[in-house]
Amino acid sequence: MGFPIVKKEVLNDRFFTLEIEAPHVLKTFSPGQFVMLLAKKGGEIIPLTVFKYDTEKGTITVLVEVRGKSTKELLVRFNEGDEVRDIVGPVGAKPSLENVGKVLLVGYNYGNACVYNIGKGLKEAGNSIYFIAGFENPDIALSPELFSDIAEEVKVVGEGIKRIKEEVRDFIDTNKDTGLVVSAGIPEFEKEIEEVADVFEVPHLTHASAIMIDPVGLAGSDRVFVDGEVKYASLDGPWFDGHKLDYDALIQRNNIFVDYEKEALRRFEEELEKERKRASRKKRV
Amino acid sequence: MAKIVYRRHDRNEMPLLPPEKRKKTFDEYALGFPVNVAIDEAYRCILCKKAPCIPVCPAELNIPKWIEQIQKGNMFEAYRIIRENSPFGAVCGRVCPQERQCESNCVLMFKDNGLSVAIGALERFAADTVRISGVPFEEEKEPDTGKKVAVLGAGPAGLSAAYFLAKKGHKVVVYEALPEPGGVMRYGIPPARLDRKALDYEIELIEKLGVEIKTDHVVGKTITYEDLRKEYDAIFIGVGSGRGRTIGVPGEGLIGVYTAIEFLTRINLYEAYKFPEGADTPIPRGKRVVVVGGGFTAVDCLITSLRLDNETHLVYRRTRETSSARDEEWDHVAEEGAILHWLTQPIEIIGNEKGEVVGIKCIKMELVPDEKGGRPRPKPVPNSEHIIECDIVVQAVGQGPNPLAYQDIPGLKIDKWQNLSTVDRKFRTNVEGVFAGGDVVNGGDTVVRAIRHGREAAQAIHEYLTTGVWEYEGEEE
Repeated sequence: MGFPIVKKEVLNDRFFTLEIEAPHVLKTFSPGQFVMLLAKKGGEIIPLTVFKYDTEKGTITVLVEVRGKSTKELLVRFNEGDEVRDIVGPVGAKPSLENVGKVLLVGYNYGNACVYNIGKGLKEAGNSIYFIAGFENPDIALSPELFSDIAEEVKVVGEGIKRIKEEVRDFIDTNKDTGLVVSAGIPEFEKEIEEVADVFEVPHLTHASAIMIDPVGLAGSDRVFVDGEVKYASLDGPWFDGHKLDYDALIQRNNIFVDYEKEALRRFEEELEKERKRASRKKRV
Repeated sequence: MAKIVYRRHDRNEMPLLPPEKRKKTFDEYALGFPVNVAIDEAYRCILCKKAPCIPVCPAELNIPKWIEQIQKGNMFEAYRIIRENSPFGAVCGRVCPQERQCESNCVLMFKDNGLSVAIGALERFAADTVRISGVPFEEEKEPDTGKKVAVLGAGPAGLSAAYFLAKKGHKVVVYEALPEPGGVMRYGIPPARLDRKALDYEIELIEKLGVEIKTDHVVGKTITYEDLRKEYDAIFIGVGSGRGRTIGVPGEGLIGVYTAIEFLTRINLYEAYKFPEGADTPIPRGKRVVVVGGGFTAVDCLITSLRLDNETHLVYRRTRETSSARDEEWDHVAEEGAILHWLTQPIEIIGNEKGEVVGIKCIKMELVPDEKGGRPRPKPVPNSEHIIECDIVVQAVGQGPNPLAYQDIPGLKIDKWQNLSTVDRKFRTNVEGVFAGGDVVNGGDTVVRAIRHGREAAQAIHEYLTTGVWEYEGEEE
């Protein structure tokens, strides 16, 4: 038995959302947690944050960034009415979300869904939320409306990490009462945000996107180093104290399979290219 | 009465693929007995009245009773008898260390350096014959009791408990965090040692009795103890002790360092050996791999690594004789080209400027007698440091606990290793209605022992459900 996709929306070349029936996830779900998705047998299991959810319908919506083969395949091969094989979850610790007054959420690409997810909990805890939605480039930037329901203000910054970092600095500089910065994206990005949070001495909660192949820290591929101690992103995380997370170690570990991922994507794109050619030949006939 | 013929020496051995062929496939390399050989081997058993093999079988199979059925050519009946004690005959016939269990105590061995009956091979034969025949295997169960039991973890302990509870007429739901049931039989033991068809079949037979297996359910997350308590009359915790341990030496964060569980899970559960053609989960191939450890898991890592065209080494701080894996298996991996470094202890994993593993620094050891009378202790030999060049280090040095599934049970007594060795002889925890068995209790043992725990716990759960009596016999604080 799989999990049906009830809605699919392609947002731009890089992002799409899938609304999936997965009521079992929602019974105990709390903001900050995520799911793991295995699209098919022989596929690769991937962690995905729960972007939005509808408890009545029993559906979750995930935001997917097309990066490697697995995400590309979800984009081109899975449509409304199709089923994904597995949705495991909810996964991750429930972070304690307190009212600190003013919270700045800052995301990078896919990470915007992660900060939105936890931001919802922070909003419910009584915080006022400010959102900097950062993207690698303007072409893939998403509409601020996707995030606006939890935030006083959403600013979309589509000019890469350096520019986002400047925006964060400006925000904290003019809002000295910022009680918490929450960041998510890639560790390279989060490390930059940590620099700012560190200088202004603002608490920083960050998202460790580690390589994960099971939901319970069984394999330990998701080990991260926090204050010198080994922690598991699936069990203890994915949210950690941004002042204590070892970003360099995470960056190093996330590079383990990069070449393999490129190879898988290349092969899949070749396959798609062949299919396209075959289809266009048929049309001509 | 006819005189008993003792055929002490003409034991039939199972045919194996030759080493150069088995290295090229993830399919099973032990091919199983053909029917004539199986029956011949069955006839070596003298069907002892007081069989010494039974008490040394952790599952207490009535071995002569089912071997007699094989003699008669009645494989279905043989399998039925096996299943009175264990729903995993096909699995145990393959993965049990029989030469330390049933086959260590066969009467044929008591004189003239005799060789035991090939009990494991026969168990496998009976189970495989039933499966391959295609004839539906029917099992009886008692009428519905109306009681419901939740089983946490679809490994050997949990599934065994589920099977025996279902036969007693209870409704059983098994919760499993991974996408597939089987536990260590799925993610741990490589298909080269355990054909997945055999495993799937035995799990299907359990489901056929009405057991519902809910994969993708993380107990403690997807479903909480409170929910379970409301819905079920009893709970069995069989979540194992699955958390890969690390050796604890510098360099463990380097690229190329794996726990055995990660290495095996990628390949066995997600089929990474088919990457990139048939599977999307990657695993490196054609590298130099050092496996650290000396148990079954280390052997499984070696078997797997060899099949990925890796130059494959083992380092273990003790000797082959004092290791916990089977002699025969060391022979098998050595034949396939594994390089075994005994009395060798890793002290550091060495990386390059990119953070990739380039070698493992080791020191030679010698065994010295243990003052406390235990196993001889390995002691470092001064000035014997050396480096084995490699790209990958796989740490097969044991498992730690994973208390996620039971940490939210109020008042549950957990031992200092965070396991549940606190259960009493009836597998009861100190919390009424909650039982536990398998590796979560004993910290790390064989599949067959977990199966026995499951069976005995099922019996205790059945008693509890029918009598309502709960008298925890463990130590109360």
